[in-house]
Amino acid sequence: MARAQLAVLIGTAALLAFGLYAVRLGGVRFPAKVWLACPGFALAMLLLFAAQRVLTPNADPSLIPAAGLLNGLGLVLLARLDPTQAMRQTVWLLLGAALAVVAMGLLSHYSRLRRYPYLAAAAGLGLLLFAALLGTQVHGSRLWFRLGPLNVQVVELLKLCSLAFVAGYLADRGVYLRALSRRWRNFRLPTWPYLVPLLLVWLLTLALVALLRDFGAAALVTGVALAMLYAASGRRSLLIGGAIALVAALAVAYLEFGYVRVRVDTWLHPFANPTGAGYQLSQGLFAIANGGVLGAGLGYGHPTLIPVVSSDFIFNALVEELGIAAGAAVIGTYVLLVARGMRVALRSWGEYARLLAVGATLTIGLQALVIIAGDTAVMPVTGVPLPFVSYGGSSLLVNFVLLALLLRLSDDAERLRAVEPET
Amino acid sequence: MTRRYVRRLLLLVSAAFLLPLIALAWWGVVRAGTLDRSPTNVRSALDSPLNGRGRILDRNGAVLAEDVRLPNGTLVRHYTTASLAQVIGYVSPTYGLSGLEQTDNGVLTGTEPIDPLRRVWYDVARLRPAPYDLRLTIDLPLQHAADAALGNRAGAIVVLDAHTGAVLAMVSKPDYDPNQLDQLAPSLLRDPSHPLLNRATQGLFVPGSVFKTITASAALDTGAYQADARFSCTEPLYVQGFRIGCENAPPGGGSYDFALAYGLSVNRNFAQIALTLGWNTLADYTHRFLVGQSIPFDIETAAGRLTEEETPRTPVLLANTGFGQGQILVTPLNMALIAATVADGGRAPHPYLVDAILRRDGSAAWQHTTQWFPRAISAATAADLRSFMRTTVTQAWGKEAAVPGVAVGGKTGTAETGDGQQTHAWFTGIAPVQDPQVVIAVLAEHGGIGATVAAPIAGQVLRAYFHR
Repeated sequence: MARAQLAVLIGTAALLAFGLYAVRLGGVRFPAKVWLACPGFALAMLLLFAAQRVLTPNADPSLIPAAGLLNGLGLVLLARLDPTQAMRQTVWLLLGAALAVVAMGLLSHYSRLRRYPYLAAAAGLGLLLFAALLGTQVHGSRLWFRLGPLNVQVVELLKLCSLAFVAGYLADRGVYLRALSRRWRNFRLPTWPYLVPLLLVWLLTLALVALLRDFGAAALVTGVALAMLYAASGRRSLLIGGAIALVAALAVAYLEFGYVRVRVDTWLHPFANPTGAGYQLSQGLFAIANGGVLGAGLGYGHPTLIPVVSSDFIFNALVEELGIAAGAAVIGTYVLLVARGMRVALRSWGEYARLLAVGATLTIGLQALVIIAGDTAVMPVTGVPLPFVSYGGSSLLVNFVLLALLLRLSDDAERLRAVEPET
Repeated sequence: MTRRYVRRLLLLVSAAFLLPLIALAWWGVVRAGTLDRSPTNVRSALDSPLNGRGRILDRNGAVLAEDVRLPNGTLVRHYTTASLAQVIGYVSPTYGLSGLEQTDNGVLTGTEPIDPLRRVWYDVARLRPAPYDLRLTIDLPLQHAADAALGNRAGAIVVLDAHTGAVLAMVSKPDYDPNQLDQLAPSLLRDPSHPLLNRATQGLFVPGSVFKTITASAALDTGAYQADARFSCTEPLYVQGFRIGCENAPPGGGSYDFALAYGLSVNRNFAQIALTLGWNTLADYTHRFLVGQSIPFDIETAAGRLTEEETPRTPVLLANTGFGQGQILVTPLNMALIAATVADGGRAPHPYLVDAILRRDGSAAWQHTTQWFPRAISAATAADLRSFMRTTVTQAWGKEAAVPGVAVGGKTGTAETGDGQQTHAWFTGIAPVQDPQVVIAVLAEHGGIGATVAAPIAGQVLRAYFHR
């Protein structure tokens, strides 16, 4: 298994080198330094691979290659779109791999986290407040704050806080909560202890929208929390009620915040104002039309016509130059990641581990879904980065932490299964 | 927590990922052709500017635009007719596409008409579809005659087939050499006379007296006036203190018929008609004659207007609108369609430039079929107007538009622009009035008097049409 994993990683590194060569052939002149992305990528992957063999030897072997494939593809696209970003992203990738190794080591005692769900909640709220008061605005959203030389994206850290809080809270009360329920006519209603965190998360959503002006991230955090609630309780009413609450929040945001209204209107009528508010989305859709099934070829499309292409619309750049085929392959890779992550949850022992696995998996999976759906006009554009592919340090680091968590959970699950038979 | 719920979540999320996949097929295959042709999509301009595009031909097959190979082997787009610069447009790596080169880009590059499935096959097999040629309705000798007749005046000429709406000639001046576009564009864009603007379809001008065709039509069509009504002008008309004098009325103060009031263009009589009809009726007929409506056409058109938005519709403005002043603006194409409405018995055909899309072997892949706008006036009203127009040319201001052996009818206009510059000279005509074949609209922008400037130009073009 280890050999197959290594083969996939070497193949991915070769794909990266070939991709950069193809970008070069496509007429894009990037500085020679960009070639350093190849050894950088290989080093990061070897580091991850070696750490996994040592620290979490029993973990699911497909997780690192899947993330690596997306990373390699991301680097090729960044070299095509903005070579400077490709070089920076290589550095972030190395840092991310290192952070993942550290996290794999530290998280061996992850169950201790379970004792402090409220600490996580407090940290999240503190971050939110801090960002609201001191954050800097980028593209109209107050998402960042400066930490020395770094711009840290608040929302990325919030995801981790929310995950720790919801998993801890539900794991503590899950069993005894499930027994209680009220009835109203034919419906089994959730008890208040269920509704309180739901309401909290919903309020957090509104706060995110109001303070940080970022509906996409808010919907994402809420969505993951809802999925975890469903996984813990099996109440479809929670999933449906949560969806209704999200739509209600969207309706409120639509009425109250101009930027939300613009995004929703643009989604409904992408070509109504093609030189104004609809410029980004319409150019993104033109890119898909230009790409067709097999794409224009690296360097032969015009993805740079799309504003902020290297983060929000990198998926459209991919489809324009490598085709719907490549788009489908990337979607397939995310589905694979989600399926393997959910498999970790299925094989895990204990409520807390399972909830963490579900939450970590969906934090990556739903984010990919939300941005790809936005890029293809299935839903309003949210402006969250495409996990492992888009340019962005904070996002990459947090996703590597989530990956490390999944590897650790997977290793634990397999080790316990080796000791105890299937229940 | 049971495994069932986790499995269901996985199923839900995986199913949701199908939606963007379906959307990719929708935008990238099914809708791709439409998106490629979207006017704000510059990709096609960036990708295939001078690269094996189809030819553009006149109605008899004369070449108007084609790719030619330079001695060094590169293909460049060559245009034969500068007076069609704004109609045919250009393909430029820097300035994108315009005119027919833009609106029919898909046809000229061969990607349209093509069904989505074939598109996928061409994409996968890396084939380049064969481009189509465009056969236009333009009659090149007539186009040259119109070009020569307008000379180096600023303005526009539109000649339409009276029954089909086919554009036989369309001139907009000043024009430019489309073969030099990339070099000329910086100065063309700064030029205060706007050579890149197609005045025929997008220039908005005060119509002046040529608008009286609409006022007279409304008067007759509603029955408010009869064709044999008589008019006179003995004293000025005061509308809320605004004076409208007896200029143009025959000397002697006697009465004269409607046709002569129209042909001599007596403002006072038409102000009175407008006041009698009222705002609602006049606005209704203005709308019926397409002013303010977007006119479907092969290239972009501007819509015209009756009044500025939110202007109070006062009696003074109504009286002025009755003889084509006020705030009304029209395009020369619209003026030609007003003449076509009168010529074709009360309803105008849709104007069109592209007669057929031709395969390389010359067979037609698509052919235009005539469509009509909703009826504007009754056939009887149209017939009355044609005799008014004939009177204008035989007895009044339109004499200079006469063509030997052909019963030309028309209306002159001298429009005050209110900016201290010279008046616009207008002429709209029909020939021959008993069985119309062509209609014409001539505008000399700030060119002077309709009767002495525009009417002779129209006469020259019509002579070229009938005596070739």
